[in-house]
Amino acid sequence: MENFLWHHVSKEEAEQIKREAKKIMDSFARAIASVEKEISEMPFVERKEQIREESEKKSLQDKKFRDIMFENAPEKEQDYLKAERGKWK
Amino acid sequence: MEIKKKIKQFLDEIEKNNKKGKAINAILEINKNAEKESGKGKLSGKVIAVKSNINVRGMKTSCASRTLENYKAGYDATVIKKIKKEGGIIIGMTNMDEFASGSSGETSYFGPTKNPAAIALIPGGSSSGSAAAVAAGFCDMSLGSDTGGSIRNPASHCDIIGVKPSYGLVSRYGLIDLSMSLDQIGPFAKTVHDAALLLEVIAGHDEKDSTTFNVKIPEYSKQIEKIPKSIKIGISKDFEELCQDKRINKLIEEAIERLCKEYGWQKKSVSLKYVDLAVQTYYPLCYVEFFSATRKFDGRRFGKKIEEVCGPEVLRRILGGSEISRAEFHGLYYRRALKVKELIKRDFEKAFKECDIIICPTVPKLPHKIGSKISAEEMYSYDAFTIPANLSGICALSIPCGKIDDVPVGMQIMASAFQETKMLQVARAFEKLTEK
Repeated sequence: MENFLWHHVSKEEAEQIKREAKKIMDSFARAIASVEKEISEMPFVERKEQIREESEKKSLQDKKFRDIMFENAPEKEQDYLKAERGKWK
Repeated sequence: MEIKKKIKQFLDEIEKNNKKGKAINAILEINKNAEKESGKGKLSGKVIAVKSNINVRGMKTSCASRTLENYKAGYDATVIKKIKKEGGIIIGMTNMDEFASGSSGETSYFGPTKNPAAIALIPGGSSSGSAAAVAAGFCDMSLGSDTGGSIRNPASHCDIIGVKPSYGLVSRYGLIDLSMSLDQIGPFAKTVHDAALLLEVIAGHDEKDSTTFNVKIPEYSKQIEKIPKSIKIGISKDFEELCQDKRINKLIEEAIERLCKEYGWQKKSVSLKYVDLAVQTYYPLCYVEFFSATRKFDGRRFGKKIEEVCGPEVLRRILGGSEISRAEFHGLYYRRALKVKELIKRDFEKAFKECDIIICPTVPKLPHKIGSKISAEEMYSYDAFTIPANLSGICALSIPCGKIDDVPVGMQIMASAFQETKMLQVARAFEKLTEK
Protein backbone atom coordinates (compact mmCIF):
# COMPACT_ATOMS: atom_id res chain seq x y z
CA MET A 1 0.00 0.00 0.00
CA GLU A 2 1.30 3.45 -0.86
CA ASN A 3 0.03 6.77 -2.05
CA PHE A 4 0.59 7.97 -5.60
CA LEU A 5 1.99 11.41 -4.85
CA TRP A 6 5.29 12.18 -6.54
CA HIS A 7 8.37 11.65 -4.42
CA HIS A 8 12.06 11.00 -4.96
CA VAL A 9 12.76 7.28 -5.32
CA SER A 10 15.66 5.80 -3.34
CA LYS A 11 17.74 2.87 -4.64
CA GLU A 12 16.07 0.55 -2.15
CA GLU A 13 12.60 1.68 -3.23
CA ALA A 14 13.58 1.28 -6.90
CA GLU A 15 14.48 -2.36 -6.22
CA GLN A 16 11.15 -2.89 -4.46
CA ILE A 17 9.27 -1.21 -7.34
CA LYS A 18 11.03 -3.50 -9.82
CA ARG A 19 9.99 -6.61 -7.90
CA GLU A 20 6.40 -5.34 -7.56
CA ALA A 21 6.16 -4.48 -11.25
CA LYS A 22 7.17 -8.00 -12.21
CA LYS A 23 4.70 -9.43 -9.70
CA ILE A 24 1.87 -7.34 -11.18
CA MET A 25 2.81 -8.39 -14.71
CA ASP A 26 2.92 -12.05 -13.65
CA SER A 27 -0.55 -11.83 -12.10
CA PHE A 28 -1.85 -10.18 -15.28
CA ALA A 29 -0.22 -12.88 -17.42
CA ARG A 30 -1.95 -15.54 -15.30
CA ALA A 31 -5.33 -13.83 -15.85
CA ILE A 32 -4.74 -13.72 -19.58
CA ALA A 33 -3.89 -17.43 -19.51
CA SER A 34 -7.60 -18.09 -18.91
CA VAL A 35 -8.16 -17.49 -22.64
CA GLU A 36 -5.07 -19.42 -23.73
CA LYS A 37 -7.16 -21.74 -25.92
CA GLU A 38 -8.83 -18.86 -27.81
CA ILE A 39 -5.59 -16.96 -28.40
CA SER A 40 -3.58 -20.02 -29.39
CA GLU A 41 -6.01 -20.56 -32.27
CA MET A 42 -5.64 -16.98 -33.50
CA PRO A 43 -3.47 -16.30 -36.51
CA PHE A 44 -0.76 -13.82 -35.71
CA VAL A 45 0.69 -11.69 -38.45
CA GLU A 46 4.34 -10.93 -37.88
CA ARG A 47 5.19 -7.37 -38.83
CA LYS A 48 7.88 -7.11 -41.46
CA GLU A 49 10.79 -4.93 -40.56
CA GLN A 50 10.01 -1.42 -41.63
CA ILE A 51 12.41 1.44 -41.77
CA ARG A 52 11.20 4.98 -42.30
CA GLU A 53 12.85 6.87 -45.12
CA GLU A 54 14.75 9.81 -43.76
CA SER A 55 14.72 13.00 -45.77
CA GLU A 56 16.60 16.22 -45.18
CA LYS A 57 15.02 17.81 -42.13
CA LYS A 58 13.51 21.20 -42.87
CA SER A 59 13.36 21.84 -39.13
CA LEU A 60 17.15 22.24 -39.03
CA GLN A 61 16.90 25.17 -41.42
CA ASP A 62 14.40 26.84 -39.07
CA LYS A 63 16.41 29.24 -36.91
CA LYS A 64 13.92 29.39 -34.05
CA PHE A 65 13.74 25.57 -33.89
CA ARG A 66 17.53 25.40 -33.86
CA ASP A 67 17.80 28.04 -31.13
CA ILE A 68 15.25 26.22 -28.93
CA MET A 69 16.98 22.87 -29.56
CA PHE A 70 20.31 24.31 -28.32
CA GLU A 71 18.52 26.00 -25.42
CA ASN A 72 17.17 22.57 -24.37
CA ALA A 73 20.55 20.83 -24.56
CA PRO A 74 22.21 20.20 -21.18
CA GLU A 75 25.74 20.52 -22.60
CA LYS A 76 26.80 22.25 -25.80
CA GLU A 77 29.77 23.94 -27.44
CA GLN A 78 29.39 26.28 -30.41
CA ASP A 79 27.49 24.27 -33.03
CA TYR A 80 27.63 20.93 -31.21
CA LEU A 81 25.67 19.10 -28.54
CA LYS A 82 28.12 17.44 -26.17
CA ALA A 83 27.62 13.91 -24.92
CA GLU A 84 30.23 11.61 -23.44
CA ARG A 85 30.34 8.17 -24.94
CA GLY A 86 28.18 5.79 -22.92
CA LYS A 87 27.03 8.49 -20.48
CA TRP A 88 23.40 7.69 -21.10
CA LYS A 89 23.69 4.00 -20.32
CA MET B 1 -17.52 39.47 -25.64
CA GLU B 2 -14.40 41.26 -26.73
CA ILE B 3 -11.58 38.75 -26.87
CA LYS B 4 -9.13 40.80 -24.80
CA LYS B 5 -11.72 41.06 -22.03
CA LYS B 6 -12.44 37.32 -22.20
CA ILE B 7 -8.76 36.37 -21.97
CA LYS B 8 -8.34 38.76 -19.04
CA GLN B 9 -11.29 37.13 -17.23
CA PHE B 10 -9.73 33.68 -17.63
CA LEU B 11 -6.31 34.95 -16.53
CA ASP B 12 -7.87 36.62 -13.48
CA GLU B 13 -9.59 33.35 -12.55
CA ILE B 14 -6.30 31.46 -12.97
CA GLU B 15 -4.53 34.05 -10.80
CA LYS B 16 -7.26 33.72 -8.17
CA ASN B 17 -7.63 29.92 -7.96
CA ASN B 18 -4.76 28.08 -9.66
CA LYS B 19 -1.90 28.50 -7.15
CA LYS B 20 -3.82 30.61 -4.61
CA GLY B 21 -7.44 30.35 -3.38
CA LYS B 22 -8.74 26.86 -4.19
CA ALA B 23 -5.19 25.97 -5.39
CA ILE B 24 -6.48 23.77 -8.21
CA ASN B 25 -2.96 23.51 -9.72
CA ALA B 26 -4.29 22.81 -13.21
CA ILE B 27 -2.14 25.27 -15.17
CA LEU B 28 1.64 24.89 -15.23
CA GLU B 29 2.52 27.68 -17.66
CA ILE B 30 0.65 30.69 -19.04
CA ASN B 31 1.08 31.72 -22.67
CA LYS B 32 2.15 35.35 -22.45
CA ASN B 33 1.41 35.86 -26.14
CA ALA B 34 -2.17 34.53 -25.96
CA GLU B 35 -3.79 37.83 -26.87
CA LYS B 36 -1.55 38.42 -29.88
CA GLU B 37 -2.28 34.93 -31.25
CA SER B 38 -6.06 35.35 -31.58
CA GLY B 39 -7.31 34.99 -35.13
CA LYS B 40 -10.32 34.28 -37.30
CA GLY B 41 -11.83 30.88 -37.98
CA LYS B 42 -14.05 28.20 -36.48
CA LEU B 43 -12.38 28.63 -33.08
CA SER B 44 -12.31 32.40 -33.13
CA GLY B 45 -12.69 33.66 -29.56
CA LYS B 46 -12.26 30.20 -28.02
CA VAL B 47 -9.64 29.96 -25.28
CA ILE B 48 -7.92 26.57 -25.06
CA ALA B 49 -5.52 24.95 -22.57
CA VAL B 50 -3.18 22.16 -23.65
CA LYS B 51 -1.90 19.08 -21.82
CA SER B 52 1.83 19.34 -21.17
CA ASN B 53 2.68 16.35 -23.39
CA ILE B 54 1.57 18.12 -26.60
CA ASN B 55 4.16 20.37 -28.25
CA VAL B 56 3.29 24.06 -28.46
CA ARG B 57 6.20 25.97 -29.94
CA GLY B 58 8.02 28.06 -27.34
CA MET B 59 6.05 26.59 -24.40
CA LYS B 60 7.28 24.05 -21.86
CA THR B 61 6.28 20.49 -22.78
CA SER B 62 7.37 19.06 -19.45
CA CYS B 63 5.03 16.04 -19.25
CA ALA B 64 4.80 17.20 -15.61
CA SER B 65 8.17 15.58 -15.04
CA ARG B 66 11.50 16.73 -13.64
CA THR B 67 13.02 14.96 -16.65
CA LEU B 68 11.71 17.65 -19.00
CA GLU B 69 10.99 20.44 -16.52
CA ASN B 70 12.81 23.06 -18.63
CA TYR B 71 12.15 21.51 -22.06
CA LYS B 72 10.77 24.01 -24.54
CA ALA B 73 8.97 22.75 -27.65
CA GLY B 74 10.67 23.72 -30.90
CA TYR B 75 7.59 23.13 -33.05
CA ASP B 76 3.81 22.94 -32.94
CA ALA B 77 2.07 19.54 -32.87
CA THR B 78 -0.29 19.10 -35.83
CA VAL B 79 -3.35 19.59 -33.57
CA ILE B 80 -1.90 22.91 -32.36
CA LYS B 81 -1.24 24.10 -35.92
CA LYS B 82 -4.86 23.31 -36.77
CA ILE B 83 -6.18 25.15 -33.70
CA LYS B 84 -4.08 28.23 -34.47
CA LYS B 85 -5.19 28.15 -38.12
CA GLU B 86 -8.83 28.26 -36.98
CA GLY B 87 -8.23 31.22 -34.66
CA GLY B 88 -8.11 29.33 -31.33
CA ILE B 89 -6.16 30.94 -28.50
CA ILE B 90 -3.75 28.80 -26.48
CA ILE B 91 -3.89 30.12 -22.93
CA GLY B 92 -1.38 27.75 -21.35
CA MET B 93 -0.06 24.29 -20.56
CA THR B 94 -1.81 22.02 -18.07
CA ASN B 95 -0.74 19.74 -15.24
CA MET B 96 -0.99 15.97 -15.71
CA ASP B 97 0.17 12.68 -14.27
CA GLU B 98 3.90 12.41 -14.88
CA PHE B 99 4.39 11.20 -18.48
CA ALA B 100 0.65 10.36 -18.52
CA SER B 101 1.39 7.49 -16.12
CA GLY B 102 -1.53 7.62 -13.74
CA SER B 103 -5.30 7.63 -13.38
CA SER B 104 -5.64 10.09 -10.52
CA GLY B 105 -3.74 13.30 -11.31
CA GLU B 106 -1.53 12.73 -8.26
CA THR B 107 1.77 11.66 -9.83
CA SER B 108 2.85 15.05 -11.24
CA TYR B 109 6.29 16.33 -10.22
CA PHE B 110 4.59 19.73 -9.85
CA GLY B 111 2.10 18.44 -7.28
CA PRO B 112 -1.38 16.94 -7.60
CA THR B 113 -4.24 18.69 -9.37
CA LYS B 114 -7.39 19.25 -7.32
CA ASN B 115 -10.88 18.47 -8.55
CA PRO B 116 -12.92 21.70 -8.91
CA ALA B 117 -16.14 19.66 -8.69
CA ALA B 118 -15.14 17.88 -5.43
CA ILE B 119 -12.15 19.70 -4.01
CA ALA B 120 -10.76 17.04 -1.63
CA LEU B 121 -10.93 14.27 -4.22
CA ILE B 122 -8.74 13.33 -7.15
CA PRO B 123 -9.71 14.90 -10.49
CA GLY B 124 -8.77 11.71 -12.34
CA GLY B 125 -5.99 11.36 -14.87
CA SER B 126 -3.83 11.41 -16.60
CA SER B 127 -5.18 14.60 -18.26
CA SER B 128 -6.00 15.98 -14.80
CA GLY B 129 -5.08 19.61 -15.44
CA SER B 130 -6.89 19.80 -18.77
CA ALA B 131 -10.14 18.54 -17.21
CA ALA B 132 -9.77 20.65 -14.07
CA ALA B 133 -8.95 23.79 -16.12
CA VAL B 134 -12.28 23.52 -17.98
CA ALA B 135 -14.24 22.64 -14.83
CA ALA B 136 -12.64 25.52 -12.88
CA GLY B 137 -13.43 28.09 -15.57
CA PHE B 138 -9.79 28.72 -16.55
CA CYS B 139 -10.57 28.25 -20.28
CA ASP B 140 -13.37 27.32 -22.70
CA MET B 141 -11.92 24.01 -23.85
CA SER B 142 -8.78 21.96 -23.53
CA LEU B 143 -6.81 19.16 -25.13
CA GLY B 144 -5.86 15.93 -23.42
CA SER B 145 -4.53 12.56 -24.52
CA ASP B 146 -6.24 9.23 -23.89
CA THR B 147 -4.34 5.93 -23.85
CA GLY B 148 -6.52 3.91 -21.49
CA GLY B 149 -9.06 6.49 -20.32
CA SER B 150 -6.94 9.57 -19.61
CA ILE B 151 -9.53 11.93 -21.12
CA ARG B 152 -12.78 10.18 -20.15
CA ASN B 153 -11.77 9.32 -16.57
CA PRO B 154 -11.01 12.94 -15.49
CA ALA B 155 -13.98 14.21 -17.51
CA SER B 156 -16.18 11.90 -15.43
CA HIS B 157 -14.73 12.99 -12.07
CA CYS B 158 -14.70 16.71 -12.98
CA ASP B 159 -18.27 16.76 -14.36
CA ILE B 160 -17.45 17.80 -17.95
CA ILE B 161 -17.37 16.21 -21.40
CA GLY B 162 -14.28 14.40 -22.68
CA VAL B 163 -13.90 12.67 -26.04
CA LYS B 164 -11.52 9.90 -27.06
CA PRO B 165 -11.58 9.80 -30.86
CA SER B 166 -11.21 6.60 -32.88
CA TYR B 167 -7.59 5.51 -33.26
CA GLY B 168 -6.34 7.17 -36.44
CA LEU B 169 -8.81 10.08 -36.52
CA VAL B 170 -6.49 12.67 -34.93
CA SER B 171 -2.79 13.12 -35.65
CA ARG B 172 -0.42 12.29 -32.82
CA TYR B 173 2.47 14.19 -34.43
CA GLY B 174 3.95 16.32 -31.66
CA LEU B 175 2.47 14.24 -28.83
CA ILE B 176 5.03 12.80 -26.42
CA ASP B 177 3.83 9.22 -26.41
CA LEU B 178 2.89 6.94 -23.55
CA SER B 179 1.88 3.91 -25.60
CA MET B 180 2.01 4.61 -29.31
CA SER B 181 -0.44 1.91 -30.41
CA LEU B 182 -3.17 3.30 -28.15
CA ASP B 183 -2.63 7.08 -27.68
CA GLN B 184 -5.15 9.55 -29.09
CA ILE B 185 -5.49 13.32 -28.57
CA GLY B 186 -9.01 14.57 -27.82
CA PRO B 187 -11.04 17.50 -26.48
CA PHE B 188 -12.57 18.50 -23.14
CA ALA B 189 -15.43 21.01 -22.94
CA LYS B 190 -18.45 21.97 -20.88
CA THR B 191 -20.88 21.38 -23.76
CA VAL B 192 -21.21 18.71 -26.45
CA HIS B 193 -21.15 21.50 -29.05
CA ASP B 194 -17.75 22.81 -27.94
CA ALA B 195 -16.27 19.31 -27.72
CA ALA B 196 -17.60 18.54 -31.22
CA LEU B 197 -16.26 21.81 -32.59
CA LEU B 198 -12.74 21.26 -31.25
CA LEU B 199 -12.80 17.65 -32.50
CA GLU B 200 -13.76 18.68 -36.04
CA VAL B 201 -10.84 21.14 -36.09
CA ILE B 202 -8.16 18.73 -34.87
CA ALA B 203 -9.35 15.61 -36.77
CA GLY B 204 -8.08 14.54 -40.16
CA HIS B 205 -5.31 12.82 -42.08
CA ASP B 206 -1.75 13.96 -41.48
CA GLU B 207 1.18 12.80 -43.57
CA LYS B 208 3.36 13.18 -40.47
CA ASP B 209 1.39 10.46 -38.64
CA SER B 210 1.07 7.32 -40.73
CA THR B 211 -1.62 5.90 -38.44
CA THR B 212 -4.12 8.60 -39.42
CA PHE B 213 -6.86 7.56 -41.82
CA ASN B 214 -7.84 9.58 -44.84
CA VAL B 215 -11.54 9.91 -43.98
CA LYS B 216 -13.86 12.84 -44.63
CA ILE B 217 -14.37 14.80 -41.42
CA PRO B 218 -18.01 15.83 -40.91
CA GLU B 219 -18.95 19.13 -39.32
CA TYR B 220 -19.68 17.44 -36.00
CA SER B 221 -20.77 20.71 -34.36
CA LYS B 222 -23.63 21.05 -36.87
CA GLN B 223 -24.46 17.36 -37.20
CA ILE B 224 -25.07 16.96 -33.46
CA GLU B 225 -28.34 18.87 -33.62
CA LYS B 226 -29.90 16.04 -35.67
CA ILE B 227 -31.38 13.58 -33.20
CA PRO B 228 -31.34 10.05 -34.68
CA LYS B 229 -34.86 8.60 -35.06
CA SER B 230 -33.84 5.07 -34.28
CA ILE B 231 -31.01 4.03 -31.98
CA LYS B 232 -30.31 0.64 -30.44
CA ILE B 233 -28.47 1.15 -27.15
CA GLY B 234 -26.24 -1.78 -26.30
CA ILE B 235 -26.08 -2.69 -22.63
CA SER B 236 -23.69 -5.31 -21.35
CA LYS B 237 -24.06 -7.33 -18.16
CA ASP B 238 -20.28 -7.77 -18.33
CA PHE B 239 -19.79 -4.10 -17.40
CA GLU B 240 -22.53 -4.21 -14.77
CA GLU B 241 -20.84 -7.09 -12.96
CA LEU B 242 -17.48 -5.30 -12.91
CA CYS B 243 -18.90 -2.07 -11.50
CA GLN B 244 -17.62 -1.62 -7.93
CA ASP B 245 -20.35 0.81 -6.85
CA LYS B 246 -23.87 -0.35 -7.67
CA ARG B 247 -25.21 3.20 -7.21
CA ILE B 248 -23.26 4.15 -10.35
CA ASN B 249 -24.97 1.34 -12.30
CA LYS B 250 -28.36 2.61 -11.13
CA LEU B 251 -27.63 6.16 -12.30
CA ILE B 252 -26.63 4.90 -15.75
CA GLU B 253 -29.71 2.64 -16.00
CA GLU B 254 -31.93 5.65 -15.23
CA ALA B 255 -30.20 7.73 -17.90
CA ILE B 256 -30.73 4.97 -20.49
CA GLU B 257 -34.40 4.72 -19.51
CA ARG B 258 -34.80 8.48 -20.02
CA LEU B 259 -33.20 8.31 -23.48
CA CYS B 260 -35.46 5.42 -24.52
CA LYS B 261 -38.59 7.08 -23.15
CA GLU B 262 -37.92 10.52 -24.64
CA TYR B 263 -36.70 9.48 -28.09
CA GLY B 264 -38.34 6.08 -28.56
CA TRP B 265 -34.95 4.35 -28.73
CA GLN B 266 -34.47 0.66 -27.90
CA LYS B 267 -32.24 -1.25 -25.51
CA LYS B 268 -30.35 -4.32 -26.64
CA SER B 269 -28.40 -6.66 -24.42
CA VAL B 270 -24.94 -7.41 -25.85
CA SER B 271 -22.19 -9.77 -24.78
CA LEU B 272 -18.64 -8.49 -24.21
CA LYS B 273 -17.18 -11.55 -22.58
CA TYR B 274 -13.52 -10.49 -22.65
CA VAL B 275 -13.82 -6.99 -21.13
CA ASP B 276 -12.90 -8.36 -17.71
CA LEU B 277 -9.39 -8.92 -19.15
CA ALA B 278 -9.00 -5.34 -20.40
CA VAL B 279 -6.81 -4.06 -17.53
CA GLN B 280 -4.63 -7.19 -17.57
CA THR B 281 -4.20 -6.87 -21.34
CA TYR B 282 -3.57 -3.13 -21.39
CA TYR B 283 -0.77 -2.82 -18.84
CA PRO B 284 1.75 -5.25 -20.41
CA LEU B 285 1.28 -3.37 -23.71
CA CYS B 286 1.57 -0.03 -21.97
CA TYR B 287 4.63 -0.98 -19.89
CA VAL B 288 6.56 -2.27 -22.91
CA GLU B 289 5.66 0.58 -25.26
CA PHE B 290 6.38 3.16 -22.53
CA PHE B 291 9.76 1.59 -21.81
CA SER B 292 10.56 1.84 -25.52
CA ALA B 293 9.25 5.43 -25.78
CA THR B 294 11.33 6.66 -22.85
CA ARG B 295 14.69 5.48 -24.21
CA LYS B 296 15.12 8.91 -25.80
CA PHE B 297 15.13 10.58 -22.39
CA ASP B 298 18.79 9.85 -21.79
CA GLY B 299 19.81 13.38 -20.80
CA ARG B 300 21.95 13.98 -23.88
CA ARG B 301 19.97 16.22 -26.21
CA PHE B 302 17.53 17.58 -23.65
CA GLY B 303 16.38 17.21 -20.08
CA LYS B 304 17.68 14.69 -17.59
CA LYS B 305 18.01 10.92 -17.62
CA ILE B 306 14.50 9.72 -16.81
CA GLU B 307 15.33 6.85 -14.43
CA GLU B 308 17.37 9.18 -12.22
CA VAL B 309 14.68 11.80 -11.63
CA CYS B 310 11.24 10.26 -12.22
CA GLY B 311 8.61 9.40 -9.62
CA PRO B 312 7.61 5.86 -8.51
CA GLU B 313 4.80 5.17 -11.00
CA VAL B 314 6.89 6.14 -14.03
CA LEU B 315 9.75 4.04 -12.68
CA ARG B 316 7.39 1.08 -12.14
CA ARG B 317 6.38 1.18 -15.81
CA ILE B 318 9.96 1.58 -17.08
CA LEU B 319 11.38 -1.20 -14.92
CA GLY B 320 8.37 -3.44 -15.53
CA GLY B 321 8.54 -2.80 -19.28
CA SER B 322 12.27 -3.45 -19.34
CA GLU B 323 11.85 -6.69 -17.41
CA ILE B 324 9.02 -8.23 -19.44
CA SER B 325 10.51 -7.28 -22.82
CA ARG B 326 13.68 -9.28 -22.07
CA ALA B 327 14.45 -11.94 -24.66
CA GLU B 328 13.94 -14.80 -22.20
CA PHE B 329 10.26 -13.82 -21.86
CA HIS B 330 9.69 -13.70 -25.63
CA GLY B 331 5.99 -13.92 -26.33
CA LEU B 332 4.94 -14.43 -22.73
CA TYR B 333 3.65 -10.94 -21.97
CA TYR B 334 3.52 -8.46 -24.86
CA ARG B 335 2.70 -10.85 -27.69
CA ARG B 336 0.05 -12.63 -25.66
CA ALA B 337 -1.49 -9.29 -24.66
CA LEU B 338 -1.61 -8.29 -28.34
CA LYS B 339 -3.66 -11.39 -29.07
CA VAL B 340 -6.14 -10.71 -26.27
CA LYS B 341 -6.37 -7.13 -27.55
CA GLU B 342 -7.53 -8.62 -30.85
CA LEU B 343 -10.11 -10.80 -29.02
CA ILE B 344 -11.54 -7.72 -27.30
CA LYS B 345 -11.62 -5.83 -30.61
CA ARG B 346 -13.56 -8.67 -32.26
CA ASP B 347 -15.93 -8.76 -29.30
CA PHE B 348 -16.82 -5.11 -29.90
CA GLU B 349 -17.14 -5.58 -33.68
CA LYS B 350 -19.64 -8.36 -33.03
CA ALA B 351 -21.56 -6.28 -30.48
CA PHE B 352 -21.81 -3.32 -32.86
CA LYS B 353 -23.54 -5.55 -35.41
CA GLU B 354 -26.43 -5.75 -32.93
CA CYS B 355 -26.52 -2.16 -31.64
CA ASP B 356 -25.59 1.40 -32.63
CA ILE B 357 -23.89 2.51 -29.45
CA ILE B 358 -22.90 0.96 -26.14
CA ILE B 359 -23.50 2.77 -22.87
CA CYS B 360 -21.88 2.02 -19.50
CA PRO B 361 -20.39 3.98 -16.60
CA THR B 362 -17.14 5.79 -17.45
CA VAL B 363 -15.48 4.79 -14.19
CA PRO B 364 -16.52 1.81 -12.00
CA LYS B 365 -16.09 3.62 -8.67
CA LEU B 366 -16.11 7.09 -7.10
CA PRO B 367 -12.81 9.00 -6.85
CA HIS B 368 -10.66 8.72 -3.70
CA LYS B 369 -9.24 11.47 -1.51
CA ILE B 370 -5.97 12.99 -2.75
CA GLY B 371 -3.05 11.25 -1.05
CA SER B 372 -4.97 8.09 -0.07
CA LYS B 373 -2.98 4.89 0.20
CA ILE B 374 -4.06 2.46 -2.51
CA SER B 375 -2.35 -0.37 -4.38
CA ALA B 376 -1.23 -0.18 -8.01
CA GLU B 377 -3.90 -2.75 -8.96
CA GLU B 378 -6.62 -0.64 -7.31
CA MET B 379 -5.36 2.43 -9.16
CA TYR B 380 -5.31 0.56 -12.48
CA SER B 381 -8.91 -0.60 -11.97
CA TYR B 382 -10.15 3.00 -12.39
CA ASP B 383 -9.69 2.47 -16.13
CA ALA B 384 -11.45 -0.91 -16.37
CA PHE B 385 -14.34 0.53 -18.43
CA THR B 386 -12.35 2.97 -20.54
CA ILE B 387 -9.47 0.73 -21.62
CA PRO B 388 -11.64 -1.50 -23.90
CA ALA B 389 -12.27 1.43 -26.29
CA ASN B 390 -8.52 2.02 -26.64
CA LEU B 391 -7.79 -1.67 -27.17
CA SER B 392 -10.45 -1.92 -29.87
CA GLY B 393 -9.70 1.44 -31.54
CA ILE B 394 -13.30 2.67 -31.32
CA CYS B 395 -14.49 6.14 -30.26
CA ALA B 396 -15.93 6.89 -26.82
CA LEU B 397 -16.84 9.87 -24.69
CA SER B 398 -17.84 10.69 -21.14
CA ILE B 399 -20.76 12.99 -20.36
CA PRO B 400 -22.00 14.14 -16.92
CA CYS B 401 -24.84 11.90 -15.77
CA GLY B 402 -25.60 12.97 -12.19
CA LYS B 403 -24.06 12.89 -8.74
CA ILE B 404 -23.69 10.42 -5.87
CA ASP B 405 -22.93 11.97 -2.46
CA ASP B 406 -22.29 15.23 -4.35
CA VAL B 407 -19.57 13.55 -6.44
CA PRO B 408 -19.96 13.70 -10.24
CA VAL B 409 -20.54 10.51 -12.22
CA GLY B 410 -19.90 10.23 -15.96
CA MET B 411 -21.72 8.12 -18.52
CA GLN B 412 -19.64 6.54 -21.28
CA ILE B 413 -21.03 6.39 -24.82
CA MET B 414 -19.09 4.17 -27.22
CA ALA B 415 -19.53 3.76 -30.98
CA SER B 416 -17.75 1.88 -33.79
CA ALA B 417 -14.55 3.31 -35.20
CA PHE B 418 -15.16 6.60 -37.07
CA GLN B 419 -18.79 6.79 -35.94
CA GLU B 420 -18.09 9.99 -33.98
CA THR B 421 -21.13 11.74 -35.49
CA LYS B 422 -23.54 9.15 -34.11
CA MET B 423 -21.79 9.10 -30.73
CA LEU B 424 -21.91 12.90 -30.43
CA GLN B 425 -25.57 13.01 -31.57
CA VAL B 426 -26.52 10.62 -28.77
CA ALA B 427 -24.50 12.72 -26.31
CA ARG B 428 -26.23 15.90 -27.50
CA ALA B 429 -29.63 14.19 -27.19
CA PHE B 430 -28.79 13.30 -23.58
CA GLU B 431 -27.48 16.80 -22.89
CA LYS B 432 -30.83 18.22 -24.07
CA LEU B 433 -32.62 16.06 -21.48
CA THR B 434 -30.40 17.37 -18.70
CA GLU B 435 -31.02 20.97 -19.81
CA LYS B 436 -34.74 20.57 -19.19
